[in-house]
Amino acid sequence: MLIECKDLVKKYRLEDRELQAVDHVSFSVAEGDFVAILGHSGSGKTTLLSMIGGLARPDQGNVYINGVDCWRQSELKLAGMRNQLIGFIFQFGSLIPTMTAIENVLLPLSFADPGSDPSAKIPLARELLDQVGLADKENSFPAQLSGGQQRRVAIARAFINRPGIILADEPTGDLDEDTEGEILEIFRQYNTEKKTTFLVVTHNSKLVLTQNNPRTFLMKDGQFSEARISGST
Amino acid sequence: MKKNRAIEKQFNLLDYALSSLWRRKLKNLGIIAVFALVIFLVASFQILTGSLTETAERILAKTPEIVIQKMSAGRQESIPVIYLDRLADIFGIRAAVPRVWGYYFNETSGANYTVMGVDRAAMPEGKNLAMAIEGDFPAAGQGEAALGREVAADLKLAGRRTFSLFRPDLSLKSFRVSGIFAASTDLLTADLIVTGLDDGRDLFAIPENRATDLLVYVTNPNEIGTIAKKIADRLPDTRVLTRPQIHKTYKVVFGWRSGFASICLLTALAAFVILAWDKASGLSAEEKREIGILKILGWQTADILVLRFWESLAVSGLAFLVGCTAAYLHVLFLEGSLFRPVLLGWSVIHPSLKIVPVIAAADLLLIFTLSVLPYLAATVIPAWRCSTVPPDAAIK
Repeated sequence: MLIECKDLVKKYRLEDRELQAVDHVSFSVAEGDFVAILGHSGSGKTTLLSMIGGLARPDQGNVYINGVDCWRQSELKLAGMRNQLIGFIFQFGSLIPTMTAIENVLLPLSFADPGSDPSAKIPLARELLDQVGLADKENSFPAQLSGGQQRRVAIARAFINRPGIILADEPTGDLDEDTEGEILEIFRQYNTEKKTTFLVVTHNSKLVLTQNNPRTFLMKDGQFSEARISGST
Repeated sequence: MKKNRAIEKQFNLLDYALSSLWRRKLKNLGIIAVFALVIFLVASFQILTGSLTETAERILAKTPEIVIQKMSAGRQESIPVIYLDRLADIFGIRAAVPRVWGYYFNETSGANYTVMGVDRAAMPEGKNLAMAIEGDFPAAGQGEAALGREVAADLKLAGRRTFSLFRPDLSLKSFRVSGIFAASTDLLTADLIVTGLDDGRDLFAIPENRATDLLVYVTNPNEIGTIAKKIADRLPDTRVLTRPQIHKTYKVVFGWRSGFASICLLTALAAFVILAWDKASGLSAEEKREIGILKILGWQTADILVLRFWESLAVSGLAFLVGCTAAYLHVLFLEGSLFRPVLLGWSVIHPSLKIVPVIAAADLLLIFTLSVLPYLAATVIPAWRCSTVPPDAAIK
């Protein structure tokens, strides 16, 4: 198994009460799987994704990636895992505002291979920007891009290191229908041709339906269950 | 191999830090400008104080080793010339000569002059004194005077070679200008009028058998202390001043003035550092988010700290370089004009000497320690506090 979550629990303290955002979740993901996690706002989807991605430490349980318990690693190895194994796509604007689109796309490379020349990856960055429909925007700053365009730059950035796993939180949330279709096609290609594993948190059942053999889970009040989707959520 | 990767990583961090500074160039240039200004003020004082002390030492090296003044009721009064006889058999004294001097207030300009009457022929350093004058040394008993540059300007001679000063009984004594002191001696001669011993006595109405003080020249400078002690024993009603003591006095005067001003300026520096701390500890949402994004993309807490360290070092190091260079140029070309009055006083006549900037490594180290290091601490520590937060929390 590529990813294995065992009995994950995450609690948050909210003034006088405790909120259990993730409640004893266990599941496995094989290499090349396309996993969609559906659920309402506040159901714990994003928290689960953060724990799998090494961004938020679980209160209980383990996350194994390639058999390694990622929360028992040193900070150095955990950071290396985030940099080289995982590509992140978030629902918020996650670009550095003072960098151009192409600089944002190239950013993860500075730590992937410190000795390499980042300019050698510029053609790849351009290709990725082209794939997300922003070939003519490489020198634009985030403030000069729409919310959807910023999201597409973040998607291109997530692929720059050719990661084995993509963790995406509402990746098509702000996109128009055409761009959404293009992005979903990119996801499908990477999933089927490059065997990239996807864990996608979404409200959008279309995202699930456009992929080959997606696995779908539902999350409600921090609890997790596998579901079969057909037609709509 | 591992070592090379670590070095490459540092280069990447440095590269990111510099480009990050460049991306916020307006803000950072503003910080550098203010920081450099504060460092410029502090460094100017340090350099100017060092330069003036050095200049004073250079000039004082040519002055008599010992000065004897008669004291009465704690105040200086004229000394009997006959006292010189009591020093005749002290071994190591090369020469001992009387001198008259006093202050003369010019009511027209409001300036105070120092008037000194000396017997050049009796002074071993008489030749050196004459070399400091552009023109001739005043001839004895001829009513001649050599003037400091500022006195010459203050008297508004406009080509005339004569001027007059009032005696205590308000009768006029005329002088002919024999020469002007060189600019390099301005620190000591700016307000000075040198004349012959008798002319000095005549101006101040001092009797022939008395002088203002006695100058003693010694053969071996290492014996100054011993000889001064012997003189003090022989002449118990006198104050014996040695050249090292006068050196020390100059140092104390400059040191006190510079210290006072430095405290004011260091307060400004401290205020800047506190401001930097305050600003850095209240990182903006944008800066927090950037830290969160970088951590998500694979940076560690240590990387963020190193990034902030490089950024702060670049800002403070550049400000330090600009500030110190500007201070050096300020002293070299403008002769420290911004702070000269603080160190030399606000009198009507003030020295316009040519100052050669003197930079001591210890001064630079002190300024570096008081400016760059606090700035680094003030910016890196708050960044550490933020970068230890889990990345998902930093971007929420």
